[in-house]
Amino acid sequence: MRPFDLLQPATVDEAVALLAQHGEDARLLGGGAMLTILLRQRLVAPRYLINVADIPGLNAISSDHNTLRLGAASTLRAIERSDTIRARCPVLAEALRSVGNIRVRNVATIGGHLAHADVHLDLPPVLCALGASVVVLGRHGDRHFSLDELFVGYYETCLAPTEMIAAVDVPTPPPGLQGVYLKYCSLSPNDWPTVGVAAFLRADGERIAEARIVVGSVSPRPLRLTEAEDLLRGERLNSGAVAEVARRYGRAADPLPDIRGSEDYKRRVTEVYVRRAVEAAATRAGLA
Amino acid sequence: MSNPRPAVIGADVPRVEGIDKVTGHVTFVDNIEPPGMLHGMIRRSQVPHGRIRRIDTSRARQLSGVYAVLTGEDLLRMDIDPYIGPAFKDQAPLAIGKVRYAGDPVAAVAAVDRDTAEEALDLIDVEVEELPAVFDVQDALRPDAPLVCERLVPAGTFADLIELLGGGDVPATSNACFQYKLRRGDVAEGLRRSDRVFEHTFSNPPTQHSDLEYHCSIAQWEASNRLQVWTATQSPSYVRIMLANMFRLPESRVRVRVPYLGGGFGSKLYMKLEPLAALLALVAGRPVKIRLTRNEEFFTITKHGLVAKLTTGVTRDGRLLARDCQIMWDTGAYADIGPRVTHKSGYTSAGPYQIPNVRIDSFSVYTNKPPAGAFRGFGIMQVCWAYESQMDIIAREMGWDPVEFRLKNVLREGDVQATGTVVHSLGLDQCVRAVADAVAWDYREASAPHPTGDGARHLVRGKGVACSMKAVITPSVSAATVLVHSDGSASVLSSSVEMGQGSDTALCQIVAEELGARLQDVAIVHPDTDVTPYDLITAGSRTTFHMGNAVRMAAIDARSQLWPTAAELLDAAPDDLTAQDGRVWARTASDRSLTHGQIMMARFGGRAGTIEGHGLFETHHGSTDLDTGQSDRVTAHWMCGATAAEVEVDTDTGQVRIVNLATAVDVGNAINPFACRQQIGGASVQGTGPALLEEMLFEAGQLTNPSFVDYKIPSFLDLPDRLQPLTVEDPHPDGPYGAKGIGEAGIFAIAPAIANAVADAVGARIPSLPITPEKVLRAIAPP
Repeated sequence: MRPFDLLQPATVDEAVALLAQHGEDARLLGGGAMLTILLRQRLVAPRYLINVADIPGLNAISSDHNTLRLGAASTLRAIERSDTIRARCPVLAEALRSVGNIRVRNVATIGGHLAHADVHLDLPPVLCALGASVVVLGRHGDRHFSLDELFVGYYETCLAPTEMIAAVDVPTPPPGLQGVYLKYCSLSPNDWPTVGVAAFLRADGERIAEARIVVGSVSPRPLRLTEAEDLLRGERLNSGAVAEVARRYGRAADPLPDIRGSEDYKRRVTEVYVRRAVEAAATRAGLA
Repeated sequence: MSNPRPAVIGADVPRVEGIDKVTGHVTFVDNIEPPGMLHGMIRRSQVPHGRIRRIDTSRARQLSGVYAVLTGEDLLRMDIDPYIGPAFKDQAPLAIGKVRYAGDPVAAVAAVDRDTAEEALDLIDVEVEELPAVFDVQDALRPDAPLVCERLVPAGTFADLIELLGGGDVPATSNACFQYKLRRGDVAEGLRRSDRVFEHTFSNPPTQHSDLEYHCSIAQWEASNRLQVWTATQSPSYVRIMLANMFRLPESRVRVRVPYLGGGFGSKLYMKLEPLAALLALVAGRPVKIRLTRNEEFFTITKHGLVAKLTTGVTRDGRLLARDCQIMWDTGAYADIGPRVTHKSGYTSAGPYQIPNVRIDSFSVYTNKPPAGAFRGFGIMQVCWAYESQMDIIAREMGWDPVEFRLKNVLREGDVQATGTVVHSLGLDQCVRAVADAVAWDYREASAPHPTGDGARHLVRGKGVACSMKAVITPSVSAATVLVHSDGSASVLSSSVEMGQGSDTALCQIVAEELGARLQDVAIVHPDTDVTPYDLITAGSRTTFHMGNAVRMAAIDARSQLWPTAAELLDAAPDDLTAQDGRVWARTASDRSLTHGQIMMARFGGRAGTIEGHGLFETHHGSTDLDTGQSDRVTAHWMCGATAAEVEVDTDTGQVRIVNLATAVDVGNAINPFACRQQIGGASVQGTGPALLEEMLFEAGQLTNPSFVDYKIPSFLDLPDRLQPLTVEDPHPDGPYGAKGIGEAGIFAIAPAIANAVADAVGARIPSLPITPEKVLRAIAPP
């Protein structure tokens, strides 16, 4: 690891000013869960680390009727344990339980988790399905991006080097929306997901009023196929339609081969896990 | 003689160092820092095979804080023998002339701190002219294959590797650096007379040892030309001898000390970082520590990959008539101990069975990959993977119960093993029965699926069994000293290394037993070659048997010097004395007793004096016929174990979950039953890694997964739902109290037992490790 200066801004404005001042020479430091690995592997060698984890108020979790707001410095563990989150977005709390391990969740922050834009992370599919957006601060002032806009590709977001995520907004899910996050690790459970599927369904009587299916780890950005989701809308749950939706996700997946499986294998298990996730969501939504 | 009912032997005493370890109070090598110590780091080759054209270190030398920079060329200019290697002198601490794998050390730096050293490494310019390379054992054996190593120079280290002496110090003609041959009966005739002949090829990739503690060595030269080393090694006595050879010093001027080890598993045997640390320290004039990173561990030593073709003939009544084993070991770019792995595992490569006709040809083959060396089991895991996979295929195709088929053929007391050596004290039959019981073995035709209880259609279950045996390393030497101090407490001087296996506890138990001392009054002196006597190596499940005998003899020697004084004080004959729990008394008058301190006080007339007891335990092997491998005594004793696994397979994804894993090992007589179960349980879990997860992946000779992010080892979440470590006790007449070595036998049969369970569950046979979900899914539902 190369030596660096640790800068300790007291406010978000100071942090943004430091980013503007040092540009590419600086990196934001949240919990360090990811950045430490990059530093140790010398994949990045910034001269300055700007610590945002200790900025007062940046780790607040707040809510009003329409929105949950997660401060960027909220740790994954704090979100997982928040009563508000458990009541309003139980799937998010459930998904968090499978992220890394408790030591990682105790330090990793939601802002860092999203800004890292690693396709293997667990929360992007869940937050995408929930329609979350990020509040971004920088030289251009406040900007808002949906997660769909935020993620551009492998380790790439739409943020400028001088911008930082200040908060994540999660809209209150409509009544009746039920879902799951299913994670498949082909080797050790103590690993990145081979595929991670967030599936949410809302029932209208015996029919599906709404379907949201977002898949992580198998494409450069979280994978959502609205035309496949539409195959379910207005229908009763039937295995043929679910299988067709799963097939479409399997076909659309564009995974990188690695020790966890070849491209072909990852497409196959994407199909399996989309099917299983939709079936599990249907059970929760009272459709099965 | 010891007491009729041993008090300490056979007791579940907790580890003597346990509390200190879990509270962080023990010292490892990396905790040691002599004054003025520098940090050494290594620059490695990026190409897998090439001629070194030029290494420019001038910029690195000018960097402030750098005290020494070395290359292979520099070694040639020093008054040393730069070549190391326990089988062949084929490796130098830094590559000389050629690099032979991506990761081969080419230069080293000693600097004030690691950051400076790392910066200096970046300033070294290395020019290498790439050469054609070989990465696969079969390619490496083609007649036109490029040679990885051009000359074979035997190290002459091992008396039992006489095969090496015959054809040594000659230009190499192939990448096979060693061949083990065994011939028994007539295999061609046996196969002809068989009712069915089966031919299969099995393989496993190179894998990692994954010790928690990285390799770490510190070297310090004293003004008087005396070398001191602290090092994480399993073989301190060997390291001293080899450093003495390298620097042309008497052994008495080389001092090697080993504190606790954070795991070894064979990775810390023979010389690793010690020579380079000593060379850097010599040049820098200051002590130097080299500690690897996890990444570097992947480029230092591996477990051998293997390709094995087995041809086996059976009779209709369930007997093995003939077996031919053609085995290729991928020993990587340097032989390390590969030839010896090939040799020792060769004995039992045809399995733990009575087979009248056996042919084994086993080759140690160079490739341009990181060197392969010893790994827990010394090759037995790999050969067991092959022969126990095939045993199951045969049983299922013939419609035989795999457990019954094994029990019908396993070696028993008095049988002659393939090497010609008679089998004694082998509790293999009991091990197989114990594990079959532990998983409620219920053989049925493989076509009948075993659904799970919860009715999920995509989950099916199966059971599998496998067993194995190993010859303990022979010949070997262990020596020990027991000191009784003026207060009656005792120190045990032994060069056996406590690396987590529990040897300190077992050795203290033996000494406490023989002296009748309290366990807390007996302490271990860790390896310090100035002080502790010679021990071959801490490996091969040999410590309890060999060092156990040595410390027992040393304790008896010390006791025999103390008892005459005690007998005099108790008005009894020395033979009438007995002792336990810190007190000594005469059997005929148990109302009077003495403490060991009182006896010492009487012997020396005050709080003074030392009693020294010495023990030396040696085993010998019979001469071996080079053409047939036949010998009346290839080993001092046999070890064995069996595993049964029940697995659940997800037929949609191919994922395998271990529901139940039972492993039984013949421990002879358990000195510490709890520690035995810990050893067996630990070995079982470690064995699930290469079975299901672990694989070093290469692309054109470049390792693509040199970190635990992409190389997965079993975590707590991977543990079997149920883990059953079981002991079988068939006492060995030569073992201390009948004990046998058990460090390895628990890992031998894990992978084939799991593969056999998968085959039972889904009818698919995976012939190559690891058994990944993708391989299983492809086998049951081709894309």
